[in-house]
Amino acid sequence: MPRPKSLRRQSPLRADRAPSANGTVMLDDRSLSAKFILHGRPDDAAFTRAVASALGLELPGVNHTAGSERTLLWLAPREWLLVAATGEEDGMAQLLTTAGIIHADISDGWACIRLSGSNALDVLKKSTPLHVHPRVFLLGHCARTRFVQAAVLLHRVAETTYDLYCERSYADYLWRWLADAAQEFA
Amino acid sequence: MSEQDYRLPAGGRIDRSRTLSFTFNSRRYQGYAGDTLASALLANGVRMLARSFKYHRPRGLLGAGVEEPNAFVQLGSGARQTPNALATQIELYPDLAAYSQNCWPAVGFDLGAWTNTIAALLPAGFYYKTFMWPAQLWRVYEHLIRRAAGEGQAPTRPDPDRYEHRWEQVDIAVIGGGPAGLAAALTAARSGARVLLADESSEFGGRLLSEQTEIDGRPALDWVAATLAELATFPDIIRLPRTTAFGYHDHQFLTLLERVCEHLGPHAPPRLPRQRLWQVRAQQVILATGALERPLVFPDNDRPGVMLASAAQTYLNRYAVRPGTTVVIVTNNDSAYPTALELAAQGVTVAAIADLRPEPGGWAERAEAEGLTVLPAHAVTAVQGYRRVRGVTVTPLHDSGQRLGGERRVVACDTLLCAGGWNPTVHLYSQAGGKLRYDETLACLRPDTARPGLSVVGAANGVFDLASCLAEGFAAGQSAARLCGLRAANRTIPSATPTPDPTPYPLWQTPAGQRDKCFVDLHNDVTANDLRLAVREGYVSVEHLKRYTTAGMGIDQGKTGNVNALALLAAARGEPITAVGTTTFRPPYTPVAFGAVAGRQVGELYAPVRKTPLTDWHAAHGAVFEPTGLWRRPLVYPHPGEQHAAAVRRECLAVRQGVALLDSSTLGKIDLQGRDVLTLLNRVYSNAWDSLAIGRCRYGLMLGEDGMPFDDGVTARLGENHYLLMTTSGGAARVYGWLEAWLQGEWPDLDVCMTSVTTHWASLALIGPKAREVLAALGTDIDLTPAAFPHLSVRSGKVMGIPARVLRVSFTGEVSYEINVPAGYATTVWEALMTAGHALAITPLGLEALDILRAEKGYLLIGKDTDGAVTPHDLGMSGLVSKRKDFFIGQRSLARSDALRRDRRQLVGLLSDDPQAVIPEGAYIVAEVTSRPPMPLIGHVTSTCFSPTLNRSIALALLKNGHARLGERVAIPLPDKVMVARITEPRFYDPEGIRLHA
Repeated sequence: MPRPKSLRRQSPLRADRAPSANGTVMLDDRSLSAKFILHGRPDDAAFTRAVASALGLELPGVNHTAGSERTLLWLAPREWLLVAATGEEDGMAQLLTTAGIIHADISDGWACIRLSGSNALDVLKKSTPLHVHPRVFLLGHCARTRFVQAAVLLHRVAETTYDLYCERSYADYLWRWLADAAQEFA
Repeated sequence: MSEQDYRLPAGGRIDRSRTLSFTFNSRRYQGYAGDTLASALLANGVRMLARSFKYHRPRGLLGAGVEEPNAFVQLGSGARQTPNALATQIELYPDLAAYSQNCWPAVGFDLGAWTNTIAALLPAGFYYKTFMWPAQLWRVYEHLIRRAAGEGQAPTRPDPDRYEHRWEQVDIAVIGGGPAGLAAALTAARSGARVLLADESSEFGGRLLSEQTEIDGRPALDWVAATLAELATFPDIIRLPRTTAFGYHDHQFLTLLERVCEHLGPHAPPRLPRQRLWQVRAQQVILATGALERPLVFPDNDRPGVMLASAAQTYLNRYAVRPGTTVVIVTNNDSAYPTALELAAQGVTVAAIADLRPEPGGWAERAEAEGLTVLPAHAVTAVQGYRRVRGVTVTPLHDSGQRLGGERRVVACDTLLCAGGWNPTVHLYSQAGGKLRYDETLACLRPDTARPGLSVVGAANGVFDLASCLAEGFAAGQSAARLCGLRAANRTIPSATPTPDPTPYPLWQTPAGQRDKCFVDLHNDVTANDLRLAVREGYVSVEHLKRYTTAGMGIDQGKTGNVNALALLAAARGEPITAVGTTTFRPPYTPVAFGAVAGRQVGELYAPVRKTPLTDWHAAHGAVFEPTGLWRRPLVYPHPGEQHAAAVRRECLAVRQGVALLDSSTLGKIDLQGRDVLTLLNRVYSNAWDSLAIGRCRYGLMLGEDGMPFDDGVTARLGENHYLLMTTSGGAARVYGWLEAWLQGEWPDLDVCMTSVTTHWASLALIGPKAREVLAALGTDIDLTPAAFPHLSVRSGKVMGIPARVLRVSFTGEVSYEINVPAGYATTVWEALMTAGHALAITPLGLEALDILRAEKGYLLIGKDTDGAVTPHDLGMSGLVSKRKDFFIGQRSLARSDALRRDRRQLVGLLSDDPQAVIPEGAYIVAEVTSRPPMPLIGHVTSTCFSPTLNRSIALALLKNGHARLGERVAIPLPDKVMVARITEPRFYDPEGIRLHA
């Protein structure tokens, strides 16, 4: 179902909120990407084939991710998160339906904050008991964790760049927390 | 007194180029960077730092570090003040200001000191004995005792400092940066391990900072510097000075407190935290926590000027401060002798060394060879001086120390150093569950059995010889590295100066009289006589003794006194020390500020505030918010100048007569897909779902296994195997977890895919007789005619061209369209609805009006009208309990005899005789009104309000056997009157639901 171009989708983070960029910790709002939860059994050949042919991606295993322009992130033994570019919401829903993949659109339900910079890791260590040492939490790894008082899906997308997904309602809190945590490195 | 009279002309680890000015009790002094408050005061000849807790006796410095039991001060002022700060651990900073505690008006002239004169009336456990009667007066006593007892003052203003948290995972954590700890950390680092090394002091080195020892023929501190330099070359080593590991918890979890900026005082950069709480998980933990010297127990052993020999050595070597001009040393082992020699070398007169041992041995001979007077088999039996030591009496000991006799001599001195042996610092080891054994030779408790993941090295393990400490450290580092799966680095153990033998002469107390005060626990003013009295009164268990006498309690937790107390308890019981056991060691090892525990989760970050996409709109339009779980939901939107009640009334009437708009985005929404969703619904709801057609909705009650409803909501059937289950706002997470638990734990065979879509869909409920008109004006491709889109149905379509799901469900009894759009469009649609409804006087609707509207209809609010002990039958909802289903959760519980009782509390309506009087919420309904309570209770009011629609008060209540009592009247006693109300059906407005289906 196409959406009118004249109506702009709003991020949970107010547009006037400038990215905090002090050089060593940067925050960027990436909430408007298309996002879907996919359901299926990894041992169901029909499902894995459908994912492979529809998305051109292998289903990632535990705590792993696959793809870059379209990314699949492992969430649970039978759940993955699909992230695609902003504007792909409708097309992707159609694609998944056609491929017979059980899915739910959460494009507007989840926010995404990109945390990067040389002190990004220090900010993570203030916030989560997850073992995020770069030797353990490798490039492309993802994990769901308690992040201060919110539930966050953490994805290491580059050496010192992390995407933090949370429910939309927590985005404002999470941004405030991260901005506060970054103050130490200002 | 001129400045820093007691400072040595050279030496020490202080920076003489940086003179720091500070005040103590408002008097100005000078010290150097690198000083502690204690060392700087000592350098200035300040001997009296505090008054004691109970007797208000003058107290000076006993120790030089964490063991200090006296010198607790109030640090700073205003919002930045710290009570109970330890002068021996406060690093000096410019303009530091500290004050004595436990005294008024001043430490030198303390009115509380009268308690010392009535000390005989204040024995152990005196307040258990004295203040027991009359019980009502405890409220008065409590304040007096609190004031008399002192301790620090809590700041009254909010703490302006930042505190941070940090989690860390390492291969090996080494606690303690003395020789053993450094050796362990170095070996672990060389083996490639990720190491965390923490030490409570500002510098690494431990006892080496206080001694004049050598390693490999060079000053030991050269080895420390070289080790630290090498550790710095490893990229992944965390070195934490000024960091106390205060807790060792299950699963190798350590809590540490780093004093990041405390040593800078108010001059710290504002971006940095004052303290940082580290939460560390380590595969292997090496405890190199050292040992604390024990004082000796003799009369008046608490006078200012009585100091531990090890502390004097620290002040002399680390801070270049003479502890006094003329000292007497009393010791039961060799470890005080290097201190004696070093003091003498710095020009301090060592007037006498009283050694409790009949045959002191080689170190004593060496001291005598240096011209010092050693008195074998002599004890200190009296201390002269009140505000400071002026002299001591030494007396020969006989019969293995049991009897005094012979020539007493009085030795003039200003300082008395005592050395009573060493207690390994086993606090963390014990917290970890490690068992202790009493070492008869060293007369101390030391770690016994090894524990997986944990090793104890050096003095903490009862190993005092420096070379052996280094060897243990290296070996532990290697072993820990191997256990982490690493190849252990080779080691070369350096040679070191032999350490004097710390084996003490086992005399736990110098013989003394009944009235002598021989302090065991200086911090809590507990004497040897107190302990014996407690034993005589039957407190023979060590845990009882601790609580009764307070020995080992409070801020210092008996760091110096505990082992002496155990030994005296054992002696009083006539048993060996091993039979006594120890008290439990609990975190924290040293006090931790609440600010550090809270971290940055304070102020606006105290807890998350969940926001719907419309929260900002609500705030901008004057909404008064109310917390609902972590959400903030609008309670009412008063116009400028409008009274709260008037606004609520206006919103109610808009719903009944016009149109209103409610943000119900917080309602939980769970997307269910799969072949077995219908089966799941039939199992988790008490009602039946088979007949629900695609496009229709149904209300369901979700019961716990106890048969009591814990959540309710509407479920819509979107497709063949596709449903949308809605929950209450507060119950969303609980319901999701409940369904997950059943699906994963009990019914893994069911094909059901669950997704929480609560935040994806914003829910805008357009409510009222004119709702249809407004929605139609907005533009939608959904046929809104009642025949095409009846109550309890769902339609997918477009609203303003935006994909939407519209549900006809109602919580008010009016026609209601719940428009669900992706959250990113919520504000656009909301504002368009407000514009479209402007001519019809559309109003945003808050929760307070909603609560009235639903009460008028008798719609249930789970948790308000239910309390976890009412069944669907009690609620008059038997129609929602399927009789045809084989199973649903809670089914069996509904057949229990208790659930079938006739006199259960049941939901009814109440109409007060006076229609204008509102019955208070929670009011009790009684069977009979008597002149005073108790009155037999038969129920209580759950919801109550004044209904603007009906222009009278209404209430819902849970009433015993209520369903059979319709039409009867009941009494509700209130403090000032008795209200009478008639029992009705719990539906006050449009009971047939005609408006709903319009």
